[in-house]
Amino acid sequence: MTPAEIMTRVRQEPSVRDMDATKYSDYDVLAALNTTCDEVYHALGTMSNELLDRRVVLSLEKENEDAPDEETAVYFAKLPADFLQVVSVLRDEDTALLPCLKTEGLTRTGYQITGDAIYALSPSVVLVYRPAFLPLTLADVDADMELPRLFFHLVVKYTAGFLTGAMSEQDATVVAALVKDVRALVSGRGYSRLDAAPAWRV
Amino acid sequence: MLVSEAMKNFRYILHDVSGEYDDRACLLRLNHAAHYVAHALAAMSSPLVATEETLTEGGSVPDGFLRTCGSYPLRLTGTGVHFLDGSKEMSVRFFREPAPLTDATEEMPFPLASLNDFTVRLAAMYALNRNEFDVSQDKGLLDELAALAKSALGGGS
Repeated sequence: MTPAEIMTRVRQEPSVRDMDATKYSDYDVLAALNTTCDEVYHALGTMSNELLDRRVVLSLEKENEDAPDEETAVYFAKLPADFLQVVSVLRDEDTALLPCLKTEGLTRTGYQITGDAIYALSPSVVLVYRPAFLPLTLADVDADMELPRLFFHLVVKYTAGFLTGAMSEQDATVVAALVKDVRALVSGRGYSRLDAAPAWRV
Repeated sequence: MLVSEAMKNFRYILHDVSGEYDDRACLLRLNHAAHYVAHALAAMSSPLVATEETLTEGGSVPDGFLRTCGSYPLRLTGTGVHFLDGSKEMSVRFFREPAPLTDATEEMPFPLASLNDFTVRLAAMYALNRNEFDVSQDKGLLDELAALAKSALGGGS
């Protein structure tokens, strides 16, 4: 699913009807698409799902080059530009790090996030995180989006609404409706085969 | 349609057998009417008067520039162009009114014969009005034609 596909479909919507691009410029359509995607990412960020989760291996730098002991040296790395929330932090494939309290120091089994950096006592960590949406520009319209195709009609519907002014992101009911639509699309996505445990089993 | 043909039709509609309207007078009326038609087309966002050109930062808008098709990150001051996103140049779609007709050998400004014909009839109505004829009937007929042409061109939305 590319932004270009969505933009063409939006221009075809009955409320828009602008295939000749004489009423709305590509900048207008892209701005509305960015608004929609931003709201969809926010909605997904509040839900329990792994749809957009991203995994990166971060190489951390030593905070203080003169730190005496490799074992106790504090390492840090800048978080990715689209970082929204931590899902998990692993030191290596089988050791998960836990968030350390802000009032206490770092431990071997913990990490801390301060500002836009992550700190740990390890030169490399695997960060699994939930991304925020970075606005698209006209240079990106032919690149595949991270949202899967199942979002196509939802994104078209709200983009057309924001474009024509029929909907506004300042309108709480519109945002609530969008969140509801997103939830309907993704709820139970990864868990649909979970058997319900009978209440009488002990 | 050539402008010479349009002037011939213009005189024919006015029954101008004595050559009361010289070429200059015809062109003046045709230009009035052509601009009216172009503005009406732009008002209904018709692609017939839309065009696309590359504008440059610090430059001027092209002659006949009416407005952009939708919004662009550009700011106009008079005819000066300033891009708000730091671009040096940008391909911009905009509505343009036709350049004034100056010569009988030119082509009429619109790609559709019916629009050129409408322009001539409108020009004739302006001329009749100046001659202090009662043009209310003509105006009613032209308004009807304009409404029809508008739906034929897919406008009005």
